[in-house]
Amino acid sequence: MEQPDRLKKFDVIDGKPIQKIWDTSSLSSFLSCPRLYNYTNLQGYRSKIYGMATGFGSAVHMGFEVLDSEKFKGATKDEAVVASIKAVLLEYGEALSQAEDKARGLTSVLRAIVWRAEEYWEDLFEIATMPSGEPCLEQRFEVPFGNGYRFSGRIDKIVQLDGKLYLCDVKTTKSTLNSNYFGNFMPNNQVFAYLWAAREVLGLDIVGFIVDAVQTGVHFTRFNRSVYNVPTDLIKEWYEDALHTLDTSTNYFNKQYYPADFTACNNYGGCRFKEVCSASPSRRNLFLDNDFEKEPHPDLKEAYEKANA
Amino acid sequence: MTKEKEEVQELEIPIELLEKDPMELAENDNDINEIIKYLRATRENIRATESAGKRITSKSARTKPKQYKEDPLSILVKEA
Repeated sequence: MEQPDRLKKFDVIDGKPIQKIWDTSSLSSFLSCPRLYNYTNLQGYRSKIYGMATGFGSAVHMGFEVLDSEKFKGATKDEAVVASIKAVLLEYGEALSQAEDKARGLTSVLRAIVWRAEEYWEDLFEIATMPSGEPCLEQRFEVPFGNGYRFSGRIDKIVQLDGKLYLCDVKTTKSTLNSNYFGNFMPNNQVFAYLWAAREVLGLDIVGFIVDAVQTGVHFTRFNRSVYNVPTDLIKEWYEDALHTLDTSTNYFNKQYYPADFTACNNYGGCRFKEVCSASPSRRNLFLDNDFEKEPHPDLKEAYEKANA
Repeated sequence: MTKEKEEVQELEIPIELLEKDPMELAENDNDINEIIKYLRATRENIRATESAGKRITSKSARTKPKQYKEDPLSILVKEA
């Protein structure tokens, strides 16, 4: 029997798309508004109006990861900064130099790397070591998640302080790094999901979650961190809630009906599907065709092609 | 009352390096080091601007503002 190379994130059952491997982004999208989840995650609609993604956040992540791994290998600060800048230039340089938003362009990424090294080279938090001797950086995980589903994520790094382990995640933002900003992460799906996976499934003795935030402006970069120690009973409750959410998603799939939640329309500066949902159902496809491109997930494209072959 | 003109040292932005083709830039350690030197200097200037309680503008990254030798509060109290 032919074995698949990897488990598929999405599948098609009776011609209808379904998500099999969830992550915090899709879970939050579904919880925020099932219709939004259907348009973006299952149908793959991408706005034509919103600017092209330049990979700013990914570039900063990569730059910091190279800084950390070079430090782990014993490089000097100057060597690590040069290596980090080179890696970012090669991978993201071209796209970032096209960025219209100067706070999220190439110079901002280079500044974040250089200033980061100045700020945190002598850090109390040490990168944890894997049993293989490698640094605990950019670790992907995929674990069973309820009835037939799976959950995947990527841990930026695991650090230790006084012999205690913490998951650490880098966040880039334009927001001021004050208590309002850090308040967004308690409670939070990613924080709870990652702690659940690390503690309950992977069996790691993780004390808490650190949000390692980077504020980028046109002329400056600022850094700040916050530590979240979430008790296990809260994590278990989150898991029960998540299972309930998955049941709801299965129900919506079976009925092929993903209802809208209008309370989410104005979140984060306004949903990009607001105009679509404001049109009568018979005219919605006109708006979708005009303002959006349809680019379903590669797993779905493959499944549709197979079904049509 | 005449205002004494301060001599302010202004950093030169390495525009030609920052706008260079990223692939070419990645091959040139000297150019990368110039950019690092410039960005480190901008950090000092921005930090000085922040500690002087001034607003960050496009000029702040390039110039270091005049620093108070005394505690700014004691200056205010003296002047009052």
